[in-house]
Amino acid sequence: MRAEENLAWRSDLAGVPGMTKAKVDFYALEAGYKEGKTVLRDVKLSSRRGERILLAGASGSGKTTVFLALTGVLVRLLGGWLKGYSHVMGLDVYTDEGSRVLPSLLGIVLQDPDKQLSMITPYDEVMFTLENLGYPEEEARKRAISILEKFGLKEKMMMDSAVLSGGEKRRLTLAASIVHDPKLLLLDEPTASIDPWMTRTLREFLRETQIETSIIIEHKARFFLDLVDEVVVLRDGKVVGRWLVEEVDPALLEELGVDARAPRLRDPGLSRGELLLSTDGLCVRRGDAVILEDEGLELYEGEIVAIIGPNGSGKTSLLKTIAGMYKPGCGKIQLENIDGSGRRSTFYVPQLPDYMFMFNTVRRELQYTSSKTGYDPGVFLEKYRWLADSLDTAPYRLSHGQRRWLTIIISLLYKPRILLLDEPTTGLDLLLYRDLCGFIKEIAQEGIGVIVATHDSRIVADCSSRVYYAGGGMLREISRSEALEMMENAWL
Amino acid sequence: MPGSSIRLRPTPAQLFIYGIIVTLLVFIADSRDALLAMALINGVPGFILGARRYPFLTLLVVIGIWGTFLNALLLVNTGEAVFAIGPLIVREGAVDATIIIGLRFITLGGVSLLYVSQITPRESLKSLEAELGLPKGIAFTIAFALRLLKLGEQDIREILQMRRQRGARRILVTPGDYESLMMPLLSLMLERARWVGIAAELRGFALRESKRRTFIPTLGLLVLILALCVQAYLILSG
Repeated sequence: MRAEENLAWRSDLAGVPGMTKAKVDFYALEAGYKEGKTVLRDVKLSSRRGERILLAGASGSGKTTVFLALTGVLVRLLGGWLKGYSHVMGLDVYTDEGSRVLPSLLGIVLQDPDKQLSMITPYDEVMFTLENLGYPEEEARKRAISILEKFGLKEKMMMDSAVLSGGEKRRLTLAASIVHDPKLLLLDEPTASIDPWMTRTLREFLRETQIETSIIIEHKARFFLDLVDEVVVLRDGKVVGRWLVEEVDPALLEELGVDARAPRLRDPGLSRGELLLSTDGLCVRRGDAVILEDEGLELYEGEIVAIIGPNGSGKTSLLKTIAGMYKPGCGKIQLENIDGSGRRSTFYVPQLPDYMFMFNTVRRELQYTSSKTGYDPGVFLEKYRWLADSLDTAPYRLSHGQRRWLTIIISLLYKPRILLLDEPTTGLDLLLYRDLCGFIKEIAQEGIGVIVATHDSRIVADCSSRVYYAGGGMLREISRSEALEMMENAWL
Repeated sequence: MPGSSIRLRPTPAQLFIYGIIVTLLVFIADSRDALLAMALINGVPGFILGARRYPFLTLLVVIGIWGTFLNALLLVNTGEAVFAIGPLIVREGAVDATIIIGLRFITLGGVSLLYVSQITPRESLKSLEAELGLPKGIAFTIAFALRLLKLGEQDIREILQMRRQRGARRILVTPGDYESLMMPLLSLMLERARWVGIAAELRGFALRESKRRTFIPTLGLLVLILALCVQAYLILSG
């Protein structure tokens, strides 16, 4: 269906309330990606005086579809359809004039910087926005340098973005999104790829920015509840709650799958068995440089050990060193009580699930793994109905949560004694997180030692036995309460 | 113009045209000598300038040559025996095919590395739009491919690590091995390209206007023309 056909019926909407010159006025009577398949129903967002709106909801609730429909991308680029309207600063986004002017009014921040940055250097990235919008070269250059300086990236403006840390990349996406002084800021899961320390920078930016109208799409609502005016919650493509922020009930939000309350320390209910791993003077390298030295890491059977620390502190490198993918810079890793029963000692599960897949169907993934390990995936097929139903689906087409589960299931078929999970909760909403935490605990209760590198304070609070902190080049054990306090204070 | 000096480095558009012509020539050439000369003319500067910055592209050339050799063993391992690998006798046909196609890979790899090592995506976008008048969508796709190459390097390292961990062989041999490398790589690249396209649209890419500018003479262009003449002469002289 062509865009004009999709929108031709809009004259029928004359009676729908809200067609005003509000800062943002969006209404989707219905919208979707494919004809006949409705994703959004009766969704309305309105910021009349420039309020900040937090759009929350569990994974698959339609948050990103709202973002795409509000900006016109759903129809213009993705071939989707919308029965409704979207006005930004009084302009109809779905007219030629609206779509032409929208980019100058809009700043966007997407969840993964690597899916947003299109140039190699920070300078080029910011200039790209300005050149698109027709800024004269000299003015563009001055603006670019000024904004990069403001975001602490001037010294690195000609460096390859690939060498920037996760936090620096996030700052770059913020700089590139506001360099043209937009009137509306749209942030889609902006905390998904950053640590609590960078979340604080993001919050400071939102607190200080002159851009009064913002829509923040986020399932971790608690990071932004003090910075927004209104909270709208979606579920299955419909608005199921709309509150002024003063009226928000965090307990109700959590029932709706939104992370709204600070995690509380709970006993994970795990018991410790034999020692599985210990390190002695271990140095972790990245390239030629030693980035992390430890004061003695230990892992026992049945334990879940969380490794926390800022982006770039060496958590991933530590896991890969334990997994034998990187050589230690110094010291040694001692694996204990790991017999010659054919079980693998360690298995590393990466942050991006797609790295682990090798085949074009889930069935082939499981068959291959089974052929390598001799273990039958039947127990998982019985336990997880979605897995049995997805056997002929490409792993890349599964939802993010299912892909995450599949990587862990594959890793378990290798029967490791030590499971190394790298940021396993990234992008998982509260409900999926609780499922995953339960799953990891079950794994630990079977006697497997689990090490989790994480930015997620929920892991520390709910399902870790002990915590190590990686920071300032050192890895040291800290108490769970200290870790939780550190992570919660980091973003506030 | 008084006081102005001629630019040394060729523009991205000039390098792009050079790359297109070399790509055509390398498929026209069929003598070993001409192909060897092309591989040296393009491969030496290309790999010197770009191999360190883009090891992924270099790896692709190596994988390409290795794949060619394996295919040649299966399809054209005929003629006199040249050498043996254990019980496997490698014959003239396989060696010739590997050399001919391998030299083409080196030439194409060299010219690609020459392009990507000398320009940035933004320079490429501006130059291809302005000097060649390429539609901005195509110019952006070429420019963004340069960024994808950098991200692809990181992806390929991770995928190879995961393959090894899952017990797959270290050296890719069968088409299935290549498939298992390419599937996740393409999946990740397509996903990124989709979102970068959306982000570019919302950052006003559709509004972008390119300024048509006149031809920019460079010393580098003279060198490229000279290199093309030499290569064309070698091909024509057989």
